[in-house]
Amino acid sequence: MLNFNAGLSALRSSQVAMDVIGNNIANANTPGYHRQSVQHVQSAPLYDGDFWRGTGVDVSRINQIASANVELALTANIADTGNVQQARRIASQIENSLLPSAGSIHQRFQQFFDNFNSLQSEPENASQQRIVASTSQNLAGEFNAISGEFQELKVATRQDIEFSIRQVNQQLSALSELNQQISNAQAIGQNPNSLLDSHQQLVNDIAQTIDIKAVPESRGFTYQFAQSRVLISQSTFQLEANFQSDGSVEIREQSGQIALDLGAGSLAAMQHSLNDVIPEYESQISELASALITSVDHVQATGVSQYGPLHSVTSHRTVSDTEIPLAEAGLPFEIKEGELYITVHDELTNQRTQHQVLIDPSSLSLTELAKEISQVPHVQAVADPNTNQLTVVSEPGYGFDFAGQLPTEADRLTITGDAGISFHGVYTGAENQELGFEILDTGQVGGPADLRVRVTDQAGNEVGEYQLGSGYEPGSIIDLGDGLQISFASGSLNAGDTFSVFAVNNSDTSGTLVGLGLNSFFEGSNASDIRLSSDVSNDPSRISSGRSDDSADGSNAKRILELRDMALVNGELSLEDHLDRTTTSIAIEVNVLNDLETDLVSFQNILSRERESISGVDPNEEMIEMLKYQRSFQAAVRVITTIDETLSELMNIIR
Amino acid sequence: MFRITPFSAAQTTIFQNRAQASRLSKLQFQASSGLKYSRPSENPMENRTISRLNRTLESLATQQSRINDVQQPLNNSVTNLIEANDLLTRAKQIALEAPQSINEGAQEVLAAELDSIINRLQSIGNSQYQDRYLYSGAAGDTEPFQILDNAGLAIPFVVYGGSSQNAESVISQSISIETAFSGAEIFMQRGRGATMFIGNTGAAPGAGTDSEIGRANLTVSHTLTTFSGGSGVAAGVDSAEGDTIIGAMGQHQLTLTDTSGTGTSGTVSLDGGPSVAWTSADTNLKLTGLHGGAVFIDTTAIAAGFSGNVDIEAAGTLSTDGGATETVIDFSNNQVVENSITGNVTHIDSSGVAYAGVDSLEYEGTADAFTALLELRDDLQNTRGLDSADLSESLERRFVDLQRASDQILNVVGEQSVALQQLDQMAVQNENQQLDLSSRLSDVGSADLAKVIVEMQGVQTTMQFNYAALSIVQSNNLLDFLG
Repeated sequence: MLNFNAGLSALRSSQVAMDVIGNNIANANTPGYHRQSVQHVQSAPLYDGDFWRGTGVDVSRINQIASANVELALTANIADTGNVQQARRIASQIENSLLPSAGSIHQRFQQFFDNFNSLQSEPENASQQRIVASTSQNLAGEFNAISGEFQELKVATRQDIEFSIRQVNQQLSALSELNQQISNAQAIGQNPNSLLDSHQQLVNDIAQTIDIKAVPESRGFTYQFAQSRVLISQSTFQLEANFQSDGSVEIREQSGQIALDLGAGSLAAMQHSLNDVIPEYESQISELASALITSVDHVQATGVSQYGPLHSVTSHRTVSDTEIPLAEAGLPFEIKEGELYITVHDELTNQRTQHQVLIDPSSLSLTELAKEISQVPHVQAVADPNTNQLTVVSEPGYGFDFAGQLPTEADRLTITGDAGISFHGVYTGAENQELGFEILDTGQVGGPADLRVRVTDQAGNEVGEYQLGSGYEPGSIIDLGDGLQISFASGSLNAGDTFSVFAVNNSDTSGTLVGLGLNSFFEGSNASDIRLSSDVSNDPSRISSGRSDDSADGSNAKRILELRDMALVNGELSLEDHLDRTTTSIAIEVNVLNDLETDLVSFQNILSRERESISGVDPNEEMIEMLKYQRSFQAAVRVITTIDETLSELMNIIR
Repeated sequence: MFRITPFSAAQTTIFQNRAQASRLSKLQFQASSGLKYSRPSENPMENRTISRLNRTLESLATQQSRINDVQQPLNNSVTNLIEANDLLTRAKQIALEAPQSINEGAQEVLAAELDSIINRLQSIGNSQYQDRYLYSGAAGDTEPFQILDNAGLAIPFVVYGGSSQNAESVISQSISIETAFSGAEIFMQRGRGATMFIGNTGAAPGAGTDSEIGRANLTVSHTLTTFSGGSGVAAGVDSAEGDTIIGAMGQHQLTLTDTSGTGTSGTVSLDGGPSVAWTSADTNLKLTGLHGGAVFIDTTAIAAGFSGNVDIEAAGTLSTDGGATETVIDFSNNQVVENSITGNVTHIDSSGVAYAGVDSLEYEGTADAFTALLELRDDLQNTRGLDSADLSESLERRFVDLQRASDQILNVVGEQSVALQQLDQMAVQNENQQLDLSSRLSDVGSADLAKVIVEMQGVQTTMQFNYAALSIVQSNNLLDFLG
């Protein structure tokens, strides 16, 4: 018997096919859409007693055309790209802070040394002093600016981490819900293609932030999270950021104890930047600032300024407690065992005396140091327990400095003769040493008889023996070498008379002046708090340009210039070389990340094209299919019409 | 077969467009700035080289600036010192001409010219460059030379108030040039020979080494005369002020005869000089010795019948500062007399001092440039009252002193000229280095504009082809063929 089943089934299946095609065409440009196709099967046949007859066509399923491998690869690429892009953005910002340009820290260093070079030639020039002070403040300001920028970058990164976590937690909640819906649909044999598309899109969105991998199961998905290989169940998986007191961040599962290794994704990059990259460059810049401060402060503190001898100086760097040993007092710069030399000037007679203070930071507290310094004649030191600072003052009519200048006259404690003994010159030797003098004969300086003096070094080795009797013009200079000179005025000297003098190259071998910030050039101890000392800022003539009282003596400014080529940073690099290396280091990082990003984006493009080649909609293809199904529909209509006409003919026979 | 959908074709175009636009942006930067790189990350290694080259160029520029700054005062100094040497050359001429000039008026004219030379030399010694004294060494704000006159001094005293340390300017890390010299080193270099004693006091050079320089007047003053016992002779009323004999006991003698036998009258002589009659009423009898010297005696208590020699001891003092300080004569072969004005000492053999008076001391070889001129002026005026032979010899010594001073000035001129030459060479080297480095910097850091323009055109063409390709791909549509 004729029936309409086959025709009707053809109509139905063609209609479904055309609906699917229409949906494909409509979503041709929808990001993440995977094209669908209809799967036809023959309807169940019927046995009419003689033959098995077909009953038409059914649509068994609507398939989503996708490649799981390509999707996985693309998701992984998105995570990697997200990671590299975020890392590159942050690294670029670090690079921006260190760009060599007008007004950059590179230029400030150049100006600092150039202006000290000018000051060295004209130390008495007040305008040049002001320029040096201004340039130095600019250099300090640039350190502060860079440090501030790094701080702001850390704050911004922390905020970005919090925002990303909030966002990814929302996405994970949505993913969990979606996964449930997919699972439910699959449980009842449905193909939730739209849900699967949405799911894939959401996974890719999440992958930009965290390294997630969706593993298809028989119902729904499970997820792997980065290197932790944490399997996220269908219950909601949420993240939280745990910011530590040292500024670093740990990412954990909410209510979890273990820090997660994020692997790829932008969140991992932010965490790495916050925990490692930014602190690394912060540390390098602070190292540079500290090296600058300690080296320049030492030169400044041990020199003499146009201002003249000091009358009062207060330390800028404070101890934690004036009663505990300096080694434990929390000072930013270490004080070691050594000597500190103080020169006292009698402003009435222009005489100088030289005094040594022994420093042992393991036992000496700030209070005890003050007592030791107060042993120096005409000088008083006080350790203030309220401010934790040390103040050194001289009596009226006296001044002092830490330049290690030679005394004007020998100490007469062990001299019985009456001949005047004077020291001249500026010691230029490489090491501190104590020279001993012994008179070998008794007689008159310049007198007819032999009158000799023997000079020995600290080790007791003879430096020379000089004739002070016959042939020696009283008062004339005897050159002892290394800039050291002595003269003996007319008078008597006795055999056995002895005296000594400290020939000082480094008047503070302990680092006390730098550690406490006495007569310093800079205040602060690192990039964030470095600034020009208020003493120098208020009075630029306090810049210690010389090592003697001569106005045109620029020898201390020369020592500043010599710092430029010295390996001051960790004993390896000069200041500017270290800055160069830091700048180059971040530049290399950005360069590598740029290249990596370019490669990843290029590969992502390839993967996208591959996915598109599998899952993308070609409207031309769809229209060809649509024509096919249109003809099939038209044919099915003809079949039904023909059967209907045939049945009508049959009915006419009966009637 | 690979499926290409319109979406993927569009994505490909967008991707390529972004890459080309990025490249174009970089090329635009290069074209507009002339620089190859806008940031170090574009090529870290080359940028490191660029950074180093820039730093080196800056250092060279600073060096050049320092060279220019240093050349000026050195040029000034050389000019000044050449003029100073010319002044000394004229002074030497005067020293040679003076013995031939018998006319006192002519010598006065030469002395006046010398005054002018001295003033000019002092002015040169105190010359400044940009408010800094050129010859004060590192004490650039202190006037180096002052000529102090003091009544107690034989000639004015030249004081150098500057520093013994030269001031230097750092040109580069390894090169420093001295820019302000110690004036003492230029104008006050001296030696020391024997000390000459010109006069009649009997003082002679001691065995020690003097520190006084130039000239001094040794004033030998009488203080007290005593007589050996037995004769009854005593010092006269004017003895302290008027006696001119100095000597240890016995160096001078009286020969006294009591012709009366009662101590009331007789004759007396000093050191073999003319006999003078004495009486017991004489309280202030003046005697003159054979070789000069005078003594005032009191003969009111002559021992009756005394006839014989009476030893005399005449104490005195020595002074080289016009009497400001005095040293008691101890008649030893080496006494030290200090000049309280200059602080310098003279060793004197006072064993032969016989008479009070003023000896002129000349410390041979110790005259610096100023002192030599002052001494020459005084010699032209013959302030020491030398005879013509002594004066002639003194003028010869002045010539030697001036020659020594001139030699030292020329040495310094030589040193400074060498320094200037070095600076000139450094400037040339510096310029060459700057050119070379600028060229290298240009190679590494400057954009090749021709290449940039060509590449920009290339990118532009590629972009256009990109758009054209998309247009072709998108133009094939079945809809165009369906009815």
